Amino acid sequence: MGPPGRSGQCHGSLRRGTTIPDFSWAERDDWERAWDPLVAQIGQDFSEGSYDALDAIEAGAVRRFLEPLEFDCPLHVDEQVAAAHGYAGIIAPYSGLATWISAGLWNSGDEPIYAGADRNAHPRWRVNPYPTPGPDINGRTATDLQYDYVRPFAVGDKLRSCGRILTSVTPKETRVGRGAFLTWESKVVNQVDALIAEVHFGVYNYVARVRG
Amino acid sequence: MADWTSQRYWEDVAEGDSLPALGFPLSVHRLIVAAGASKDFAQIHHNTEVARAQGAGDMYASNVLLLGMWERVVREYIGLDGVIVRIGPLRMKQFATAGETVTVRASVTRKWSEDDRALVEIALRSEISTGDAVTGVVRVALPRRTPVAQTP
Repeated sequence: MGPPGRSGQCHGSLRRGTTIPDFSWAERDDWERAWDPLVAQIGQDFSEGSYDALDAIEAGAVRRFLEPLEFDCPLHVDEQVAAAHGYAGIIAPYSGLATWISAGLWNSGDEPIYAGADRNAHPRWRVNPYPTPGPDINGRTATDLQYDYVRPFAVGDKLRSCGRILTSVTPKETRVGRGAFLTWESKVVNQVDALIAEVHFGVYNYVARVRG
Repeated sequence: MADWTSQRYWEDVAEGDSLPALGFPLSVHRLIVAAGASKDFAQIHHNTEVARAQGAGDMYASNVLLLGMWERVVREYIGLDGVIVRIGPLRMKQFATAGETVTVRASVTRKWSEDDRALVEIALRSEISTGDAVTGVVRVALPRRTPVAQTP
């Protein structure tokens, strides 16, 4: 599926730091200006390199991915069927690319992540797949997406996510709050650095409006 | 459930063809199973309080779950020899929250050949009670009934 030999060689790691949030920028009349420094960084790679999926793609994980979809395609569960259709093994659903590059929540050797009993506490990301540069926010949602697939990914493959290039920043007020639409580009490679997919991803980062 | 014994070929497809629509009721249970399966543990997808604090009406489906719905609709149409080449561009337009049913509707918008590949573009919409939650396209390659002669 695509030009052989295209390589996505990349190395390094991506980790998120901690900050004390300040949402006051969203209350100012000139709130859009808070995004100016980030606009000036369009084109920059925020990833500090790459990160590996914590796990290789596993047959059980693929099967569980299908459960909430009630999706019974045999390419995703039956090795013989997959082989009969030209694949090296059970292939993972294409829509789950973000799942197959998950860096996990916690691994042996990591610091504890469940430190308190606050009902809504969220553990710090082990690896934040999408860094949040710019002014502090308390809301983020996916808005746009495009995956260009170069080759399938199968059980046993271990994927790596490479790069996070900021491609646009568009401040905008919406019904959920004030913030900016950000778009990013990255790529995904497998364990032999063969390019799996190119990713274009958009998010809306915002300070939420209080629901009345 | 789909009939995986039949294969659709590029010659069988015409622009304007509709794909069978599929409905996906979004219970809290389904959203939580999907969060675990996709490893997307952003709280907006499984925690009503957090989702409301961020401006949504309730916990809502993740992009991975919504894409998965599209993949099922598309895969059941293109069969086992079809290949998904591109998902997107797509736009998330509103939150598909718990209690909604997402109905995926799709139709063929373009059919062409490129670099010996027989390609088809499918436009998809994920509808909820208040309109479109997601719109976009998926590009696929289909097998041909008659292989193209190779140039020596």
